[in-house]
Amino acid sequence: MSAANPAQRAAASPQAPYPILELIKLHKRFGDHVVLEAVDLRIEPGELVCVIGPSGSGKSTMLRLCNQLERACGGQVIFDGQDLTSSLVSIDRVRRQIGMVFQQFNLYPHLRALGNVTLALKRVAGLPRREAQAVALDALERVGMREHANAWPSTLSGGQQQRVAIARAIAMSPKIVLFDEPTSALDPTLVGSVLAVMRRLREEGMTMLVVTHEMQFARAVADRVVFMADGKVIEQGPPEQLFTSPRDPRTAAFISGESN
Amino acid sequence: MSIDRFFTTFFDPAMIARYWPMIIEGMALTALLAVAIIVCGGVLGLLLACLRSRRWPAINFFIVLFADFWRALPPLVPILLLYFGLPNAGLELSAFTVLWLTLSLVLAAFVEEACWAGIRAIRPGQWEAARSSGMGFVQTLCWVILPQALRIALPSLTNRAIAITKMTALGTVIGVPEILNQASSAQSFSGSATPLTLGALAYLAIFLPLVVLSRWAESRLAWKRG
Amino acid sequence: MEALRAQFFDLEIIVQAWPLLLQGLWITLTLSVVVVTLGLSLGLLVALASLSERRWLRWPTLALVDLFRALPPLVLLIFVYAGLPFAGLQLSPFLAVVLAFALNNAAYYGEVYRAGLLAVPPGQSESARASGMSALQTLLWVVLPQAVRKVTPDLLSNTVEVIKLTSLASVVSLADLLYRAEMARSLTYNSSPIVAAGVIYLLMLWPLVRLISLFERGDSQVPRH
Repeated sequence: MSAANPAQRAAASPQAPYPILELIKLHKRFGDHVVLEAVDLRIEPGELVCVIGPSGSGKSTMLRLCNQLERACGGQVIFDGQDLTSSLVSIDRVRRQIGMVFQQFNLYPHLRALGNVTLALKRVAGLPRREAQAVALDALERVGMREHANAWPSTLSGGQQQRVAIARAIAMSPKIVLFDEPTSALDPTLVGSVLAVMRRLREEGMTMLVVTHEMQFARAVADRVVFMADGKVIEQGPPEQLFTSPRDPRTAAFISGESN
Repeated sequence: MSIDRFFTTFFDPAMIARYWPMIIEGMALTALLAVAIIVCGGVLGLLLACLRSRRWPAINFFIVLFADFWRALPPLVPILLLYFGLPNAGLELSAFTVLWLTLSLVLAAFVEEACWAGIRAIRPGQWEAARSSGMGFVQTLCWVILPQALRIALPSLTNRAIAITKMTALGTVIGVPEILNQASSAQSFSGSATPLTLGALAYLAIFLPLVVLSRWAESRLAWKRG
Repeated sequence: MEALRAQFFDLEIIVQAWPLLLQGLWITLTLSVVVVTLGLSLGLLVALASLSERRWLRWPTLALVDLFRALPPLVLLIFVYAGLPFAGLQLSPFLAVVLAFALNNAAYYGEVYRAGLLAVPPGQSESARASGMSALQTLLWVVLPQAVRKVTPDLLSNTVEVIKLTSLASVVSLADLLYRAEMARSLTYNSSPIVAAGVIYLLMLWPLVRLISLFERGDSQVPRH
């Protein structure tokens, strides 16, 4: 297993020859409604990829297929060399290596900030309590929430809750973190703090797949931007190219609509 | 009726002195029954609710059937069937066992419904957050869903526990020597109403604090909500 | 297995006991209607008294409600049936059952109504009074309909409990459904009549239990795993 070998991870540059996550010809329907149609996507280690597109374009569904919160109707999800759509794969073992951050934060309201972060460290990674707390405090430090470790989620602002949720995801040392519109539920004044944390993670070399409406963020921070519409990847490329000279008229229309 | 006669009828000191030990014995048995029923019925109901949240359609059908059946059937019916009917079919259960078994199943049905309502009230994002961190179904249930769901279900769970303990009085029909049975047999030995008063007081001693406590707890909850 | 079938599912015996069971069912239905009607109407009065501004009305009402919620209904029934005669008040089994269960259920229905009335926002009665309605009109046409709608599932489930409760009438030899079934059992040494009575209870109450569950079903939040 190529699991968590630090040397290997450090060696993985953005130009590594193999993708950490690859979606191949993914199809998804809800009833008769086609949500995703033949979606292909490759994420290299260390990359930050932003997915943009109008609502209903299937981008959140695609993200939820990456850790199998939704099941595909056809196609493959290859994570770290394993096909997650195979019934032979133990999905719980894979998911500990894939962090996820939700639009609605989904913090556990019955646990304090620290307890939110330590829960999976204790129950999934099997760390003893003290060690789990040390790892969790470190993760909270990285998102600037260490001094709120003992706070109940309901007492925190939306931005603070989302940063705790990010700490919860990165504490497990995942190989990739999926972000599902992480700032869409936030008060506009609180968006900046969350984006700053994501920017820092990018500098630390975290691999991230981000579904977002934050065009400025995508343009400034992403290595690659993917534009989706009607369940298909319309085009992708470096942010400057995609934002300044989009090839597809739908991309151009979306970008000019969003920037107004 | 004069006050005097009222007192000698319902609060005759001689009768109180003679029969209070019997009532205390009845209270001990009622308490024992209550604990046995609440433990068994509570655990069974909780397990059924957890199983139901796995959402296997075939199994859920039987869980709903079980819960509906025991919520719709007057408990005296199975009590009479098990106590008077089974011996004729070759299986003899003690009156205590029959009462314990029946009321445990009744409680399990209500606890299942209350816990399931609590589990259902938890937003799906909680399941998703836990599952996507690598926790399995059982771990998610134990560490994330149940701590929240049980808190929601707590008021109806305590009400059910009180209600089922009151139902232990049904044991008197098949001769389980709990409080009511002790009181009414003492009443028929003695030809005095005083043992019945003692029995009623014994129930009040157990339940009045609980009823008042739950009223207080509910009003506190209401303030928190508002 | 055959012994079980013969003891619990003997069709011939059920057919023989059927007329007896029907007589009992009639009593059970009458009793249910009387107790539910009394409980629903007394309960409303209890709820209004327990929410009254006047302390001398509110506190004794709450005390009585708690008293009758604390006593198991069977204890109350036996007290009324076997205890009151010592005080010179001899009630027929039917009246004893009605009195005991009406007191008990006035308390329970009262608590349900009370919760419903408390859940209606105060602005409702204020705006009704402001439009010139009297206190009684406000209660009847504005507040009560909203309160009842809010607690319909609880009123229904209490009604199920009342109908189940009527089976206790057999204890004081009121010839209700279960009493008749038990009588048939002791005559035939066969439990099939009680099974038949159980089936009749289920036929009456199962639809109500289903209805309550339907009321409580929102969108199911639990994801498929």
